[in-house]
Amino acid sequence: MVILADDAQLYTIEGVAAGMIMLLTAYLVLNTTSVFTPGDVHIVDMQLEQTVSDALAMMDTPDYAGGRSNLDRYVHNATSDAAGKQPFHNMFTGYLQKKTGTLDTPVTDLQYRAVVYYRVEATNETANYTFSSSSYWHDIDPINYPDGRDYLGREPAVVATRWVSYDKDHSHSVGLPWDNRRQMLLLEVMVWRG
Amino acid sequence: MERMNDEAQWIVLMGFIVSIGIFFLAVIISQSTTVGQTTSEAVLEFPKSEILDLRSEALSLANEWKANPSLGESAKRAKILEDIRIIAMARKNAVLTLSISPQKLDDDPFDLSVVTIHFNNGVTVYDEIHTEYITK
Repeated sequence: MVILADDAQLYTIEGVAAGMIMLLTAYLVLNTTSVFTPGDVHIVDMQLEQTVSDALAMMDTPDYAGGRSNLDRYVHNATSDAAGKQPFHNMFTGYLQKKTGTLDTPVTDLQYRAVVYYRVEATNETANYTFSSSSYWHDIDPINYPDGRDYLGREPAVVATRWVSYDKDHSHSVGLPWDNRRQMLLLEVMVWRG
Repeated sequence: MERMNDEAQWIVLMGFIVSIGIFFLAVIISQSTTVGQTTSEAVLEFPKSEILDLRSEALSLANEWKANPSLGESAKRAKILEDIRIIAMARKNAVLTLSISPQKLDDDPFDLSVVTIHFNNGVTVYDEIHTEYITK
């Protein structure tokens, strides 16, 4: 039997330990190569969704207890440009693009589309009516509404909703697509950076 | 056994400690992006604004609806609750049922209305039984 040479045992152990550390490091490095872009982590989506929800909540808050909110009034006049669509657009985009002082914000590129969903009693299905959108006003009046385009950005769109209680006894515009009865409508707003 | 050269042990040891430290910092940094992602996804998934909005609508209906309605009034109320159920199912993929039971209290300075909310969108389940006191 050949006697094994047992010189340099410590060097061997050190080599094995170093090899294990290198393998472990290589494993970790290979595991963390997934590339995250800011859009991937959804933090901007979260902030945008909060902004939109807050804007709708502010619009749906009445000026005094028991009063009617602006949003309520605008949805009751959903088919009217002057009493429904335009004040909604101005107030909503105003909240989304709040400026500090008179400085123009560098970002005025939030696009939106507001759709009202309602239940048709005869069929028990939902139907929808496009209430307003940023491109709607851009198409009508491009000088005063230069920012409304249906451009798409690379970041995902967010959706916020608000329930609106429709009361046929309140003043409302003619030609509303939903049944003229007391009912709940869902205002759904999609917002994206375009 | 060959005698090892054991000079400069401190330098070797310090190098070892520093490398361990850098290794753990790298692990922490590699976790930070996923932490931001999971947190914001959790916030996005939780329907906070929806529940707040629904609750305020339910309570304003409860404040409006009196006890012992006529048959026609009962039918109107049922239609409103049905609107909410159908629209929530279609647009939010959520099972959402509301019930509002107003009661007239003869001996008290207020009436009450029992509001139950059941919301389930598959991720978040929210149930509430609320008693709303309404001044006469």
